[in-house]
Amino acid sequence: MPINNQDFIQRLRAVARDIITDDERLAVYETDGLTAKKQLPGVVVIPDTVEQVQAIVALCHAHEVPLVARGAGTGLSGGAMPHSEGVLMVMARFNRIVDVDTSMRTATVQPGVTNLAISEAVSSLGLYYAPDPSSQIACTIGGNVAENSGGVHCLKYGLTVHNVKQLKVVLPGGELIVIGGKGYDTPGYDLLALMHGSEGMLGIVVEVVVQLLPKPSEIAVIMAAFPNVVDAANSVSGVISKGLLPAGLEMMDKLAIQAAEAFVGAGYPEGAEAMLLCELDGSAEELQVLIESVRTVFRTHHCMTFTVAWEAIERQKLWLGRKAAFPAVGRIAPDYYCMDGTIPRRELANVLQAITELSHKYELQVANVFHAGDGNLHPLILYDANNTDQLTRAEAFGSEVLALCIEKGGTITGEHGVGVEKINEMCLQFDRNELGIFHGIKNAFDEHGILNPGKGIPTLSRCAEFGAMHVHAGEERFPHLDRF
Amino acid sequence: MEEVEAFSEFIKKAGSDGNPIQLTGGETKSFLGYVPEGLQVLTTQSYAGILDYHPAELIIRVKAGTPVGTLNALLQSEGQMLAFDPPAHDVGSTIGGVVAAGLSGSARPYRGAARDHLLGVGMVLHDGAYCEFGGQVMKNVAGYDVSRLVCGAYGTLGLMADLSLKVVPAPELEKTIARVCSVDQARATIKSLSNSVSPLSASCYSGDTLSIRLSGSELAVKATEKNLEGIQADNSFWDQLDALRLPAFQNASDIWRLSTEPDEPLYEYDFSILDWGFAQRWLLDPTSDPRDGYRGVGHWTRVRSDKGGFQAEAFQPLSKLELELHQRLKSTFDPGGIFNPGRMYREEGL
Ligand SMILES: Cc1cc2nc3c(=O)[nH]c(=O)nc-3n(C[C@H](O)[C@H](O)[C@H](O)COP(=O)(O)OP(=O)(O)OC[C@H]3O[C@@H](n4cnc5c(N)ncnc54)[C@H](O)[C@@H]3O)c2cc1C
Repeated sequence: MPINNQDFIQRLRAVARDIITDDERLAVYETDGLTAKKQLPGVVVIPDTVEQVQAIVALCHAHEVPLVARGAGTGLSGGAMPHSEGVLMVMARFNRIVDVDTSMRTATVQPGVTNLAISEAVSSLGLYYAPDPSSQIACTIGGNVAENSGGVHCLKYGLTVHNVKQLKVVLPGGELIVIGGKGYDTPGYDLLALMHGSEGMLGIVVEVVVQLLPKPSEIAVIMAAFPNVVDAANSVSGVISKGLLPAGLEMMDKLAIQAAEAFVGAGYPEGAEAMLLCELDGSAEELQVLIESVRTVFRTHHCMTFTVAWEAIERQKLWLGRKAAFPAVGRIAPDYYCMDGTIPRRELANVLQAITELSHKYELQVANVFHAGDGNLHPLILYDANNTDQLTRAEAFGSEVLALCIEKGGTITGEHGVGVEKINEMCLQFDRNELGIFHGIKNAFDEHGILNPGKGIPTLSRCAEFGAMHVHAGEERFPHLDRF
Repeated sequence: MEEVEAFSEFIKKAGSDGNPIQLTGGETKSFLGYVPEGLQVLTTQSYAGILDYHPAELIIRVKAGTPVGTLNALLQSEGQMLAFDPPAHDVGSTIGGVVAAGLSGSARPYRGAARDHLLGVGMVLHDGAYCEFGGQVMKNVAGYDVSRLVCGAYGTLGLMADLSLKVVPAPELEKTIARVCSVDQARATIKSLSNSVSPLSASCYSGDTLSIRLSGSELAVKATEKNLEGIQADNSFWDQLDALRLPAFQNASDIWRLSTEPDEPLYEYDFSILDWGFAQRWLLDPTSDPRDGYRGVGHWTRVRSDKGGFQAEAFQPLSKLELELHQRLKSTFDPGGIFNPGRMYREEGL
């Protein structure tokens, strides 16, 4: 269905007046956070009401026109990358916090509200919304649900799926459905969980009820420097084995530390090969005990400096450096490619060493800044997109890192989603039966396949192509996997 | 894996014979949902034990037939636990059964549900294929979240052979405190604890008595306890409650469960037990079907009924749209309708 179908555009305009069809303005939306993939949308529509969303979805369904939802476009896997012959629906106008219920500690928000805006709105009530992606200033709660986003506080407080109680969703036929509730369970299958991480492929989220948490009485952030990444990685496992569950436990390597320091001046130990940020919360007495336990573990692993920030302003400065690390790395190279594999924590040291070796092999620099407590790696591969050879090397490097994550018993994506980026690696992680179930689920919701087509789940023929491409490397490492 | 192959053969044969199966673990939850007479039974009971456990990873991978008690004991020996208080209705209750039924115990409002701690499943599908979804890591968004979909699906989507669960460090101290008080006082006490950072991990009001469990560091538990009236009670109360083994449950001919919002009024109902901070309410021995004319939010489950063994429509009916989605998901996973037919809802055309 070509989008230059004037009849379709007419109908779309009749539903929502704000549509964009000229190339110049369409170009604003040609990419999300995965800037290596660009595509002009067929048409952009910016609805204001749920009724309009329903009508747009129903129209696309009837005409079998692809529809891609877009929040803030900070996604790192190309989930919001437009379709050349489809509609890109921008959810930016749904930016209202509808209700805050202090007794139930919930907030009802529209999907275009930014993650940080929720915590800011309820801060004076002593509450906050726990999952805090580093992109929280910009990313939307609708995008967070679609990706099941995490953040530096997810080690203790869970991911988006653990902190959302209810969704209002427009199904691919245009029907509005309420999924979940303010209580603790609902009858039937857990569709609330299924919607999380479904990358805009099962429905359009038009309202979200999030759980808010009371702010902890005291918070301390430990910053510790280490002589090498192995010691830092072993400290992470050490803390968890001791039965401690920090609110956040993040790691940065030398290049990431230097980039962040140059960007925001957070006071990081610039000479150190690695550092950990460890946040603890509780009463002042509890914190004294916890800090000493962490100190003991870190010392065992040769920690060189150990400082504790108590004041809000100091803590924020430390987190600012961490949260700005991606853009900071973006300043020291023309482009970076952010990977997102998760591995068992005990493999951290091994995999970090392997990544260093790959960095030599591909002759590309890599910076590591990641959710160490969760075993969620974010190697940032530095390259120059204007140099096609570098781009090819960066992609091959990334693909090898993901294959390594699978080999170590992990996954190709911890929080950024599959999108278009990791669609090939899905063939390494899942076999044909498993992919068949994913396609079945998609089909149960969206029989015409209009929502975000080509993302998330590879077709079997795509895997066959990828398999053919990767015979040498792939066949050796995954002999037990079906080739399609 | 020999057992998994046997499951697979059994399921394949059932499929080709068009002969539906009742999937069970310890068969301790047949009172939940509709179980037709005369189905052939496939049990995971013989498939018990630990597949992978590194305490420092906070993850355990177990065979579905592992008894809850065995699992709890192992975790305890490592100073860890399952945070959601899996209810063990009997010694035979298996972890696969608890997760398949999506059951969570007293800690649910404070530490999350079974589904919140489920990281991955290995399951045998309708055609006998063994598939893995999710995995043994804390964060994983590759593919749709099939593991959580299977949690609470009562075995209607396939046979869960193994599962990976997140575990947490056991609290340093756990204390139960009981106090006689009015409903309103009970509600206010729970509210003030749950709306501030506190070690509250369970709450129940029953027969004029409010029971509260505090779990956490010794410092935190003692600091909170200081401000609470009441006497110390036995921690085993919560297992009894979760397993429906309190005397009130045992003497009841009918048990209805209402899952609602904590702030919802009690209306005209004389609930015998209110737990989960008033969000889970138990109505024992009612004279009629409470679903008729209920004005509030939430959903009812018929947990026991002496009106014959009949348990059809044990769960609150779904809306038309919800039911359609359910039926489509069901036929994706189980096109021949061989897994636990009708256990939750009537299946289209089956
Ligand atoms: C600097 C930087 C740091 C980041 N840090 C983190 C981090 O710490 N943790 C983390 O998890 N992620 C992180 N991300 C990734 C990204 O911010 C998250 O994935 C975020 O949730 C995307 O939100 P968005 O509003 O930008 O969504 P978009 O990028 O616009 O869309 C993402 C996906 O959601 C779908 N979608 C959007 N809105 C809706 C809706 N209303 N209904 C249905 N589907 C919808 C889209 O179709 C798309 O598939 C980071 C990104 C950047 C650029």
